[in-house]
Amino acid sequence: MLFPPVLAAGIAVTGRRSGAGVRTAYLVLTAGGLLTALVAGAEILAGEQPVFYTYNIVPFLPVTFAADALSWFFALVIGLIGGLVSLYAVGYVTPDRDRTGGYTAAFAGFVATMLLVVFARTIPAFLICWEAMALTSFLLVIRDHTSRSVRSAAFIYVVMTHVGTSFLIFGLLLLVGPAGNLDFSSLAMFAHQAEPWRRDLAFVLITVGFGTKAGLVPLHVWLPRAHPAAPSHASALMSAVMIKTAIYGLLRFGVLILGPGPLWWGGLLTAIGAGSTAFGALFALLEHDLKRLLAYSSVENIGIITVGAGVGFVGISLGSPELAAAGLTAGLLHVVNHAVFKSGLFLGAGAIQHATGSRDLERLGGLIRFMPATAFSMLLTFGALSALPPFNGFISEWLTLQALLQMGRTSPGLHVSVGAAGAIALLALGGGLALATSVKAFGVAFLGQPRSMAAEHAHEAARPMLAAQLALSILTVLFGLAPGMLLVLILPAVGMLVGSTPALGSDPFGGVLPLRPLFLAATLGGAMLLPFALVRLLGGPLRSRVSAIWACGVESTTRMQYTSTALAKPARLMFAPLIGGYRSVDEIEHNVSPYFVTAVRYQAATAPLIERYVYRPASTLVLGLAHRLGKVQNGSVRLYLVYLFAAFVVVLLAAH
Amino acid sequence: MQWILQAAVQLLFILLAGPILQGWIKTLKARLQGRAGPGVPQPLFDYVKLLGRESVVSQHASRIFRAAPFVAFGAILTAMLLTPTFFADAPAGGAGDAIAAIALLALARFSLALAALDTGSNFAGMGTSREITLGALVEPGALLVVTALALLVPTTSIAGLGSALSPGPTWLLALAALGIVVIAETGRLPVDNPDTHLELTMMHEGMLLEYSGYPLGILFWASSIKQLLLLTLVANWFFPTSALLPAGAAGVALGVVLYLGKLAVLGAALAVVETSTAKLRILRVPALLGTAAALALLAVGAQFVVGL
Repeated sequence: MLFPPVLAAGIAVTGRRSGAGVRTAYLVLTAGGLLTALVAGAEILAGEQPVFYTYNIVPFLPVTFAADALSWFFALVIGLIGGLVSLYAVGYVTPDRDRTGGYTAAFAGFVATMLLVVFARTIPAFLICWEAMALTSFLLVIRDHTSRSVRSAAFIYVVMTHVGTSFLIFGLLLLVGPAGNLDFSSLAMFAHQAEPWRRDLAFVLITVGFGTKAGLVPLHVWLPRAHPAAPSHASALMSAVMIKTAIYGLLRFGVLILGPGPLWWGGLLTAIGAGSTAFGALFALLEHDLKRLLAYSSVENIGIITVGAGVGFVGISLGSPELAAAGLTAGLLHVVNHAVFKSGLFLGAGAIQHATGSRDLERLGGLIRFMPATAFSMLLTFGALSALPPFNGFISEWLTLQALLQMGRTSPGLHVSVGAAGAIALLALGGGLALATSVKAFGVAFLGQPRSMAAEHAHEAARPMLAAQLALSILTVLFGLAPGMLLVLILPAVGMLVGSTPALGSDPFGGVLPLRPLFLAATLGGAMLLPFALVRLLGGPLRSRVSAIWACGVESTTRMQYTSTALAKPARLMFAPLIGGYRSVDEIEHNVSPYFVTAVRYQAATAPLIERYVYRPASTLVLGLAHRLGKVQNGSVRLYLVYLFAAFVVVLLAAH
Repeated sequence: MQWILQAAVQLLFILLAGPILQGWIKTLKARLQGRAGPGVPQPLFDYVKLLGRESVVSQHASRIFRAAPFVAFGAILTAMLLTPTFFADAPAGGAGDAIAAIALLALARFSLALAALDTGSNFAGMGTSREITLGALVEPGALLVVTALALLVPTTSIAGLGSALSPGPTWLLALAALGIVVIAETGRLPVDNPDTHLELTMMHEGMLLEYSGYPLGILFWASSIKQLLLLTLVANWFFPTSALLPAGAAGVALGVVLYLGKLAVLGAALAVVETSTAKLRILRVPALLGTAAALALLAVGAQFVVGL
């Protein structure tokens, strides 16, 4: 069962020498990915018992893999998105002999290690695959290593992911019982009856560890740097799939291994998630680099998923399986939906970069004329990002809000209800800012007049790229109209996490399900046609003509349009205390008279508040400590002999 | 088949009542300001006249500009169809709930904002930037009002939320919050001035600036239906009378009369608010919208303190 994806990766690795070989490799990955997704779906529906494969590479580090509903679900996501992104890469990657061969191997390795992570069943297996995933993604990020910003971004990424992994290792080791068994079922048995302090500490460490990989605030600082630095197919995979493996880890370790915990576990997750949503959405609005904007938007959506997971944890703590099922279903549905539309968006951003050479919104404009198919697909995926009906983003955000409402209803007190209301407010704010971001990004990039020569000479993307993008955007509509097909695949996993499988027909919210997406879409379609009838009935034929726009009597130039920075200005002013930063406008040229300025220099920046107040003190502390500790090693052999002798004496005394 | 008849009657009513309500508010405002006013049916005549006019389209515009009025009208009409008017059930009530209605209004805003940017005009960009930011700030208030009601009953459908509240502190706080949201969403003073197209007051009107002829007629009609929707929500949730109605034709007639009366009173309240306040500086509007969210949050908490 596990071998199709690994085999595909292997073929990709061996066939990497020439340009045609690279394309073949990516095609193999496409087929392998989609096949994996189909197999995973079939396995979820079949509902077989897990089968274990054990490899004893090192005697005391057992490496075991097995499959259950949760693993298959994440494998489905990885396979589907990995397959479509590989199809895109067939058209995107230029056969550059030196780099592309090894790069393709790293890409294939990345997909394979992600798949292995979700099937691992012992601590060594999980950590080996986790680390391999981090290393292969580092190789993907650092492709353009001649650029200083890319090197810095990759460095920050690799440091942050290892910091997170170290927290994770500590947390996992806390749960190893006295017998020293490292497989997950032994961990679960020990953890279920461990002391509360040990379980709480393990939960916090695991949350920090997976939160770093997921990109939750304040551990997100690597995301807006690393995702733009990587090429688009790698960014798409990292943003859409890799951060979801962190959610997998949180659910596997937090729910299945740690078991029911106190209420504050779920509350912490919901609070962090809601904060990340609002924060990510705000900073996405302020960006004018298209891929950084999408990276911050990923922070926002990971926040939404974490809120769903948090409600699930609360439900488990309160002993209410319906609430837990509601929250976890919402979170897992958003995992799929976000993966679909975010990868579509990154692929579109890559198409824009390919066509114009720039991902700076201030240099784009009017691309809808030159890239109509890409524009159409990005319109659909931006609509999904803004959680609008009839797209899939709306369904999962709706479910998350319903889960929060249910949490407020079944709560034992004021704090949970007000907490749920606060989370709803933050999610609503994030959703509204996401809509503003979508309008800005799509409007400035595709609509209006071109703002630079590069945008005027854009061309449509290659056919494989278009195929992948259109497939993903059609999926956003399909999953939005018929979420039942996804829910059927999610519910077995949820049942495994909660303990009892909720039935699809019955409503987890204790009433009649008040949303029917197909009916809503049909009503929407009919209502959109009604104005046609109104106009024909009451006015006559629909006549229109094209003319120039009014620009105060002068000819309208492309410089008169609103820029991306200008569209975000009200938000920048209104949220100024949260953003900090500075703004300066200097006049640099005037013609004839100082009253007729002909050129100004405008500079604005947001202050990196989290880096300044959280990371700088932390790194100063750590480096200072390391410096002081370093004095222990001063190079004198005699001092080292003294250390050896002292250690010997201590060991003798201890053994006595 | 009775369902289809009811739906058709309500659809016709919605199409007529939107402009008539707009005319009612305009005439009241005029009388309060010492003028005669345009007359209650005048907006309806204006919109119908516009539908017959030719549309002038910007040279830079694409299909999005031409499609947006239909998308916006469709979204707003669908949201209105999710709301019960003078019958107990909404025409399409099973399709969506209050959250879906808010999301449909967001869809309308999305399509209009993109259409504005499509023209390549600078005035339109100004309206868009303000409208999308303030739209983001209105969402928490609106959803928190829905939350305050939805925590009291196990549903979020618009008809179901009508039975959530009874008079008390929660009712008052939620009404205040929803009132501010209604003023912001209908684009009335003190948030935005619906009568002018000046730069200082350009938000919703700014996005429509480049439209003319039949698309403009469609968009004006859609705005009037949106206003009708918001006032209907206030009427349904805070002044519910469906329980008082007897069965049969007499009940339906009484329901119609009561509904029209509520709309008239709420419209008059809007006119009074508009005439008695000045426009807020745009940087002060987030404070107002934040107040709405805070009031709704208090409404959520109030049900625990007093038990209602």
